[in-house]
Amino acid sequence: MVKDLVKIYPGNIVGINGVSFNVSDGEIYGLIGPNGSGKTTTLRILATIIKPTRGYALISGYDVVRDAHKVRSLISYLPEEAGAYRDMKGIDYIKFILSLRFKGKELDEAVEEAIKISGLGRDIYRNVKTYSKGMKRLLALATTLAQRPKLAILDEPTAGLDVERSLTIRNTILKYNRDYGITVLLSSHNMLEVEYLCDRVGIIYKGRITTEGYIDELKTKLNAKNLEEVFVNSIRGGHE
Amino acid sequence: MSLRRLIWKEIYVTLRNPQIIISILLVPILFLAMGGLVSAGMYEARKAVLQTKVYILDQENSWLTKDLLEELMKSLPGRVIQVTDQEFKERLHSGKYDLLILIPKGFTNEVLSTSKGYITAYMNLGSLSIAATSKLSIINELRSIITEVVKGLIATHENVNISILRISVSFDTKVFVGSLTLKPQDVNMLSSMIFGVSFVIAMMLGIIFQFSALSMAQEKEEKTFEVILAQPVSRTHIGIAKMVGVIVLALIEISVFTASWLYYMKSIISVSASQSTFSSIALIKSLGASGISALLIDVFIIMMCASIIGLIIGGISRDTRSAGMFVGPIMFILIIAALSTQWLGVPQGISQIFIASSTLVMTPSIITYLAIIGDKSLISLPLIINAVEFVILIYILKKFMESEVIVTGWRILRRRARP
Repeated sequence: MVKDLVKIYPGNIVGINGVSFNVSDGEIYGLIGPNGSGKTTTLRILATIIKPTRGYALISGYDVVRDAHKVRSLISYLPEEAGAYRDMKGIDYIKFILSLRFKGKELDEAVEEAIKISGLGRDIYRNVKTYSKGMKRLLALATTLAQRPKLAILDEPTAGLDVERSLTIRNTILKYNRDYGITVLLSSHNMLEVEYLCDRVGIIYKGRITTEGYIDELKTKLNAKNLEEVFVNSIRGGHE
Repeated sequence: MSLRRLIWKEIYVTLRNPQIIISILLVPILFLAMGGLVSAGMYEARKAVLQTKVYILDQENSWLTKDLLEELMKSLPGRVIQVTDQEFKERLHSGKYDLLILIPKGFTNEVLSTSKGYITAYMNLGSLSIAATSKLSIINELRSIITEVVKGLIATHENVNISILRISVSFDTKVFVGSLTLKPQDVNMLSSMIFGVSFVIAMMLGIIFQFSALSMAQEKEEKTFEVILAQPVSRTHIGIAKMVGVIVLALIEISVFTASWLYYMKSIISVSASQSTFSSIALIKSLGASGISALLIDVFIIMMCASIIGLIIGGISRDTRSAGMFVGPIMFILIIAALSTQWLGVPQGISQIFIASSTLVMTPSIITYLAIIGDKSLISLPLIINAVEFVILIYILKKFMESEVIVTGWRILRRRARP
């Protein structure tokens, strides 16, 4: 649950200005909005990376500021353009990240799972610096999902990727949501992707959620043929 | 046309790189500071030489030594003072002298019969700075003056041509630096070694600072930092892990550097100071168990302090380029501090030690100096100062790692906040 979140950066730069929304267990919630609208700031607060100036956010009842350590054990976070250590092998990166959460047999299983999710095959044994952008994204997503979090926070999971890779990633997110009941909160510019993945969306504009609801309901409400029109109409009209 | 635009772009981009601008600005500042240090050292050295008083005890009191003293007083007006046996002993015990000369009984007969005379000299150096050690030149100067004067006096006395006389006067010199008694040829060796300690430490701290700052900034650049920060691990542990990693890396690099430096020094020493009995082994031995322990503990503490400062600088930087802006100035400060120990001497006295130790880089040379030469009871002072600094820095690092500045960067170093 996110309630009246405000983030003001030094120099009085407003990141978000009263964001509120709820994400139910097991759903995929999409946060969409233009550049600079506050999507990344919201996700960073929920991932305990930065702290809100005002308001609060609870994940499974735990406050992201007061109970940050507990929250971190419930979530996994895929930052926008998340990379991996250039001089590490893909496999070593997976092992390292997962070893911060698992150990013993659990770790071995999580590593196996991440390798499978990544679909990198023998490339997993190569240095990350030889990877393409898509391969790096797959590696990052694989480590995020293999953590089997209660909530996966994905910031632009397919940004800058080709159609084939994007589709692979979307299907992987859907699979993990359906098979393991992982709740997903994602941000995206890609309306097609959001429509494909999400149950509900929140349209964020100038640091506030202007529209929120199930995609089909929003289409009807805003007389739109698709989510792109919902988005544009929402921003133009400033609908609540 | 296109070439002109390409050249314009190169110059424009280069001049907008803060790292390049800082390095351009630093060069004159570095040389001005170095020049200032050198000229201050030279000025002090000249002043020290000109102001050095020579106290002479004439135990022989023969016609030769009486005339010799008279001539010396004429050659060095106001600087040569004859003292009694009692005054000589008092000055020697109290250390209130620059140079004490003892002309022993039998000097005249020895010179007349063997053409060789021996004089004992005691030199008291307050420190091992360039200014202090330059006073050693007076001994050589004095020896040649005395030799020439003795030759002249004997030639007159014997009524022979001065050119046929083969007389030499040798000095048996003991140099006191604090509680240490050295031969003159060992003084420069010891001074170089203590300077070497400062220089190696300056390089080591510079490397640790650089590695730490860049390691933190690189995490941001490679976009891995937020992934780590969102894991259920203590942020202080993230900082400590980085410190340890950086120190291990720096120790490897500094070992290679020190070994190469020692080889280089050995080459110089074998050529220029083969007379010296003082070696690096002797230096280590003279530190004593307490000195070695204090030195090792302190080096470890200051390495961690440098790493913490580097991590904080890397943390407030947006990327490796921003972090790199700090590397040049910090290296510059460290080199200047190392140079100052050679030109101005190792700080002594509680207040000086207090201030100099807080710079971290000067502490090992202070401890080395105190353990070998100075007041051993003061060794714990620089150690305590650095330990307190370390505790404060660990506290700051803990707070810093928990703050969001580590993600967003310091405002001055950010072009804009990115929501």
